[in-house]
Amino acid sequence: MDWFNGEVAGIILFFIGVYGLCARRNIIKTIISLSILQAAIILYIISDDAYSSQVPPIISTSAHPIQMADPIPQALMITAIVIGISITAVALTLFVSMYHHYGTTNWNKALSKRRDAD
Amino acid sequence: MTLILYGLVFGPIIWGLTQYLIKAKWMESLGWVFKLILFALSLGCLFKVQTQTLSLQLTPAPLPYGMMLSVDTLSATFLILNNFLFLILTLFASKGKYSESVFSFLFLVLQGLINGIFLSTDLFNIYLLIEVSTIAISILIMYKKDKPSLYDGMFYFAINMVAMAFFLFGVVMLYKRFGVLDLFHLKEALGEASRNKSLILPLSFLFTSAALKAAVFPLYNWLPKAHGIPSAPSIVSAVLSGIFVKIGVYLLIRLNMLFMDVIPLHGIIMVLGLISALMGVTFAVAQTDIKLLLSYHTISQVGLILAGVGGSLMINQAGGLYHLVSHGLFKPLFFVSSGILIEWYGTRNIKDMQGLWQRSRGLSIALIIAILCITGAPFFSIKTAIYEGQDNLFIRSLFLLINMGTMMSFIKFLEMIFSKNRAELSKSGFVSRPIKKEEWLSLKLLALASATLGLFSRTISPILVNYSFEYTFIDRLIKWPSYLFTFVIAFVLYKTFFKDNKLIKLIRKFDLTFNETNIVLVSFFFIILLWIDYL
Repeated sequence: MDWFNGEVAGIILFFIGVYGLCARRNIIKTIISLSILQAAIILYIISDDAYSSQVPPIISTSAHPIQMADPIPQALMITAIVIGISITAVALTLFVSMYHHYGTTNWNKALSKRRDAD
Repeated sequence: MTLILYGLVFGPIIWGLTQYLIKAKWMESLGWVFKLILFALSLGCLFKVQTQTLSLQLTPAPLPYGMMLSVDTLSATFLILNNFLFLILTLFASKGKYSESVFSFLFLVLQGLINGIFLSTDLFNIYLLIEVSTIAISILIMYKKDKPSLYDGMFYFAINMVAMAFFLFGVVMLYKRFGVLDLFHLKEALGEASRNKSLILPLSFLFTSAALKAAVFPLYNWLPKAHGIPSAPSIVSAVLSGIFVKIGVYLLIRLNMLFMDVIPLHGIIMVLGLISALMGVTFAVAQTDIKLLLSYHTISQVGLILAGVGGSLMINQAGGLYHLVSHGLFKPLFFVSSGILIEWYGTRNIKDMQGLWQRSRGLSIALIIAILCITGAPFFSIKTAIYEGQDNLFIRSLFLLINMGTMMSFIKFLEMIFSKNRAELSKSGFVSRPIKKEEWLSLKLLALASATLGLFSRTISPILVNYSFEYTFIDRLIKWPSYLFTFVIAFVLYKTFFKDNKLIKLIRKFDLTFNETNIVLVSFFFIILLWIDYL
């Protein structure tokens, strides 16, 4: 099972999210699938450079910079987490507004009602 | 000089917030000065990059660890288009119902974010800026909060977020391989690396997301919903078609430049561009809804632009880029005019709009200029440069077919302008609403800018696209007979075959659900993966 690391799990998780987007008609599940995609990407990148010999990238420690883990993926993913949460929040807000008008959580039913509204 | 790059990104956002908080009359006047300064700054950038690239380091850490804003000829072209368009469209809406503070704030924020996308050289920053601008544009699409706009806005938001997740995955995979995010350093690193299987997956992710942003066929389904939505303000449709969809084109050009040494992408871009142009025009011919017709033409014209930038000759690439700027001007002209027409006639069906010439000569002339630009009339457009020097007869025929399809679509506009006389007009339910002087001014400026780009392409093109189109007056004059001949054939075909054809009616109703769009997106991703692997 050596091949199964964070990166592989990230790729698998990403395509589980993609499956949710393709197969689920529920808009809430679409938003959950989007969150799964985000989580998969975060898992993929923070697993990079995660070797047991490396120390956290904190300057106050006595470790040499060469021994430290790359801090950029962590910094980037903090931003990605914030953006991911914002996207989920915006998506849910938009969905609530939409639900008030359509009364359904189903993409296809909403589409047929959208066509009727034209 | 480099500090102005800060101003181009943060200036509109800070100004938008200030204008939102301080609601005074003098702020409005000061706002115009500010918007003119932004346009002047982007113009200054365009002239400055003729001699040197402008760069501004954003962090104390040097590259490749830090971040940078930079302008080269390509980004300067997009910058000038963006700032000119926002200036004109704000002028158009300045006295209308969309001049309220929230709308103005969102509009200014969007301007700053789009400037940021073109200025940033860091892939992660580009991702962030596109994400935030997509949120802003979704809110603008849903601004009226009516039933259709809520569905279309939600659809647009969700599918674009999926695309951006693909983009982020591509970015992190590249970072994992090379340890840099800056475009220039990434290009250097790619130049040193040999062609490797590990590049195919990140490139496919990035390419798929950029293709969706550019509404390349078959990933176009979100565009007619977002651009052609009847209830969205016309200036939002104008921004979407004028500049926002071009972000995808910008990303594709950047990806092509980035991977040029290891995996050349221009062939894929050209083929996808041609397919998009052909399919876009097929859908456009079938439409009778004025905004949907224009939206499908955006797909077609973006396809043509991509076919140009993916071309093998310099003239094709420069022609594609020049047409991109031209399209960024005449398409907003079409959209804002369509907004006025929908208000006047009380319908979106172009067949029910008649006798415009008798009612408004000014608007008719503006629309005729836009029609001449989009159909590639000599003196008004240099669209032919996109396929100039192309020896392949099949590809030349395809271009001819696409152009003929465009002409067929815009015959509907010509019918609207020239049909019916004054006596019959009274029956067509025309509600006259005088065009405000701000609207007139912006329409005139857009028409003038579109015509100027065509007429003075020889002078403007070296500055704008770094290439000189050597078309003389005689060269253009002798192209008129073939242009008119193509128009006549298009007219005959439209009247005899396409008008009220059953197949056309079937195409008009074709639409994909959200799940189907995602299936198409994933299939497209795997096709691109195999295609790149095959290259």
